Amino acid sequence: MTSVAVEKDDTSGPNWCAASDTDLLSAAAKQNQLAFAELMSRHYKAISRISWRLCAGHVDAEDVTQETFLKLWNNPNQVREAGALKGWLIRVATNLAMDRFRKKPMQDLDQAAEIADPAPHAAVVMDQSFIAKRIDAVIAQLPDRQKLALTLVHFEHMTNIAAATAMEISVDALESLLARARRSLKMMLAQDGKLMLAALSSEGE
Amino acid sequence: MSENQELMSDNDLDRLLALATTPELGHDFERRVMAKISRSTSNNVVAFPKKHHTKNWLIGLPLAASLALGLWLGASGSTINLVPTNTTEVATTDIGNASGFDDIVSVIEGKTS
Repeated sequence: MTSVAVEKDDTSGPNWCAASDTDLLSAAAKQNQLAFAELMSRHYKAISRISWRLCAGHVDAEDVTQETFLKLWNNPNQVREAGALKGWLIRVATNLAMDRFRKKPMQDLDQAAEIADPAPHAAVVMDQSFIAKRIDAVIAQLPDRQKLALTLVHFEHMTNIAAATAMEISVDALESLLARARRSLKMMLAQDGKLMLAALSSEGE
Repeated sequence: MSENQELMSDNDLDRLLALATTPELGHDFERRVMAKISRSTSNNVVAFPKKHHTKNWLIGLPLAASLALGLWLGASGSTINLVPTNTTEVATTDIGNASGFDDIVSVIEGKTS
């Protein structure tokens, strides 16, 4: 039994750091804020990064992350097993991000400084920050599900099985999404990808 | 074919993807969420209105008695005995000759023929 004083109240200060996600979830379901804070500290970085990617770097990403954890706080019983928590958080964040950009005009997204997409040419100095912005902009143009699959597997280093479970699709479907995403990226980067690679090579020398 | 030749390799794509931005996280993110949770918790606590159970039996008792009486009378088929005899005879006589829809007017107008 890994119980870590789940019954204790907020003020007694149990060692929640050592508690399992299962204990934290059950304590959070009893409105224990300290347990919930610990649970959030374990997962919010990944959810923030995923939200950021899905929102294409838009400032709404933080709101999406906050809203995701507020949903967990308000509906802790929706997550039946601690093992399913991350997948649940990812799905909620994804739905919230998609809903936001469905409601909002896309001009907001285009005006965001984070995804500025300057057309590269030979005169531009291709430093790494420039390349990073260009890569971010290209990823932002992917369809949502391809973007999510790429984010989970490539940036969050999740296994195909874990990512497929989180997205509630089969592994084959996930691999198909990944393949299409990579192909789209290659096509979108066909023109300036070589320039960027050349710049990277020259920096390395 | 030629299209595939123009596309970069998987390794090259991975090299470029490795340069994608890693987002900076707000350092006080957790504090802000917990503040929201505290606010939402305090706002959501609404006392349920107290139900008054004390006098319910006062209403329930006559209703139950009425229901029981209705069932008993209905089962014994004796409700007809509760109506005065004269009234039932007159009512039967008044509409005794009526035999169809057309007679309704006659009955209403007081004609018995």
